[in-house]
Amino acid sequence: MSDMQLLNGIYDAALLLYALSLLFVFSDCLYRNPSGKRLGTGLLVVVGLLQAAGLGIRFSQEKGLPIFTPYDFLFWFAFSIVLTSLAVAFTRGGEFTILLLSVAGFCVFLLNRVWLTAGGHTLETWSSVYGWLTMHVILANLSFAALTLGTVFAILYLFLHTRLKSKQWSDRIRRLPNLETTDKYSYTAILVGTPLLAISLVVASLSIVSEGRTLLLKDLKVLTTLIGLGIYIFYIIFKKSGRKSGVSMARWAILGYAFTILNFLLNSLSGFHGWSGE
Amino acid sequence: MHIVVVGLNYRTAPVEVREQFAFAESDLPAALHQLMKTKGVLEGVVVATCNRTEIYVVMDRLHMGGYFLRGFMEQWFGVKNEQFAQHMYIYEDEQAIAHLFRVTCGLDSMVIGETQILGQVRSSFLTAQAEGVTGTWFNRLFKQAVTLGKRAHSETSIGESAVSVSYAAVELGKRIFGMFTGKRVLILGAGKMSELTVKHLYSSGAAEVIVANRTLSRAIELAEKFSGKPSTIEDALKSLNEVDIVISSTGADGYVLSADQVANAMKRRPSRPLFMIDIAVPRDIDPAAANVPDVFLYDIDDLEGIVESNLEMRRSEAAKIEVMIGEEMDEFQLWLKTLGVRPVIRALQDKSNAIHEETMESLFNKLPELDEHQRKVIRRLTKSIVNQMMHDPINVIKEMSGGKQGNEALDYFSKIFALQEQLESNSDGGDSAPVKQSSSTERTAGSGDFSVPKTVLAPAGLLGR
Repeated sequence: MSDMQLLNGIYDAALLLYALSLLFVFSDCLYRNPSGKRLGTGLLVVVGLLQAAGLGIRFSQEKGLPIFTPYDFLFWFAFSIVLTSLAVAFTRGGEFTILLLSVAGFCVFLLNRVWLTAGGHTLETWSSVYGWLTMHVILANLSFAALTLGTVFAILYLFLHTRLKSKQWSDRIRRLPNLETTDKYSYTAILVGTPLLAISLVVASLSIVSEGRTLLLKDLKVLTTLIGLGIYIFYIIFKKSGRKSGVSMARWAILGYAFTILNFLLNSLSGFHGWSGE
Repeated sequence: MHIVVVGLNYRTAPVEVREQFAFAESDLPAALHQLMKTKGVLEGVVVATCNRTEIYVVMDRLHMGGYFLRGFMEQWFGVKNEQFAQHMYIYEDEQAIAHLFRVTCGLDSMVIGETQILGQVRSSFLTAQAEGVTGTWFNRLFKQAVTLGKRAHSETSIGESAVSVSYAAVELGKRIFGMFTGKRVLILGAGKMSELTVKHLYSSGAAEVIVANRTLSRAIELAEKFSGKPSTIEDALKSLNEVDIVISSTGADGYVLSADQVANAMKRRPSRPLFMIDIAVPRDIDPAAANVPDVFLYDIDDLEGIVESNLEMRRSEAAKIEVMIGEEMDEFQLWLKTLGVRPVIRALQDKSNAIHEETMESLFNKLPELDEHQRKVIRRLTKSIVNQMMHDPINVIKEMSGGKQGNEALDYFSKIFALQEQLESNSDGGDSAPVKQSSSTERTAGSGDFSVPKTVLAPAGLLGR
């Protein structure tokens, strides 16, 4: 069996188990089901192990850190989300947080399998700034994971706020983290994710300038990325000023994330991440 | 042997009756020892709380059991049987076990799912155990009941939701703020209900309490209880933007707080939510204030709705616990049946060991030339033959003893292997009741044939009827 077949086999198994885990977590959120919750978390551990094995295969295929193709980027992102979900489960951070994180992680993992392949890349032309690009991709990945977590808490905030405002009391309300906590966690995650994103962009700019490919800075992607970063910077400023309500802040957080996702989808329109620099 | 519980609780007896049957904690050891002197009683535990007094016993007979236990109560409390018989209930065997499990899980409590009773049952059992009045049956049964109680609370949400209006307000506040540490509370009107609510908030860590009342003297009185600040209503409303929680119960005819006042206060504190509880009838706070962003306004009907919803949740969780109780009862029954097979297996092993020893003795007498090594080898191999021969019958009887005709199977097994002599000699030193031996012909715990009879179930009726 070739490496590629093995990788696909592991990927498919992880995908299937991720779906099962999501179902069990969902059943627990729908109606308290402690055994389903345990099973869901257990399956998530197996998914994490399979993803680690898959990334290990990619490592051996690439003879180095596999992060330079969109496929690898999303693979790492899904892995980060699984690890974050497990950390939330370990700290008993709430089943609804895990559910939303798993939905995001599973969607990314599934789309990666359907749309992308672990094909080769043309990074060889960037050989002089390899280290910087590595740093850029890793930081971008970590910031995406942190911003995803921040968005999950923002969504939970809006959901709970609406329920409490409209006096719709149910068992689910009691199981959600309270408004103050979700607001605080959302802010903390974004406070971590935004500087990571900013540093990641600075590193990318440095590598572009060092390679002398400054034309790339005029790409649409640069502008949209800066707008996304700007939304998050405004979010932090508003939060610090204390002039906006929790609902407004949650909406800003979701808007910023929506822009970040949109920006990622722009990859297909822009030549920026073709890695060739053409 | 039989498990019996007699008792009275908040459902069967009014407080004036219950108070006559309250066991003082210091008297409990003496009461337990006197209980053990009651005819037929082999093990005993007394569960005494403000809502119930229950005596759990293992008896060697059911016949007259209730009569003897009533006699004990009559003697201990000095109350005539006729005065309390109508308030008492008696459960036997399976029903008694199920009742204990339900009590421990909080299903029999006034507030369904409360956890206090679990600690009380555990403490009652530990007292009885320390006094040496529990034995094999109750040591197992009460430990299983306490473990089940813990499981019921950890695996379901029966005890999580508030079932009083004041606690519902606190629970709601926790959904908004998480903790009340550092939060400022304003009480408008120093009524009983608002006092109770603020008491819960204050004990949960609320930092500052401002008590506003039309009569300042009453405000001062209540403020002192919570190290708070007394104020007039007019002054307090000026600082509305500084508080996080408002509890209103003034008894005024019109609205004390308009939506505009709330909106103006919120403009001065845009990033912090305001939780308002209006428990007054007629209402003190204009309902339109609920539309102001980040204001959570709940009136008495909303809170009662939450309580009702929580009670419904508890009832649905109770159904899950009933299933758990059913499983635990099956497990206890199985344990009882396995308990019955143990002495029979021990008797068989004793008998086979004795035969083996005798045969070896005889063999070595006939073959004195055998050296020590040869003797060891012969002893080991013949022992292996005996063990292999015993292996299957032991496994089969273990399985059969758990079946419907377990007692019959044990009886046949004892007859086939002629174990009566061993069983009788073993039962002399067996694991029986803790304080005294049964005088009846039935076997005690640790001996041969007994089980909780499935059909001997008394209705959940009252003694004396």
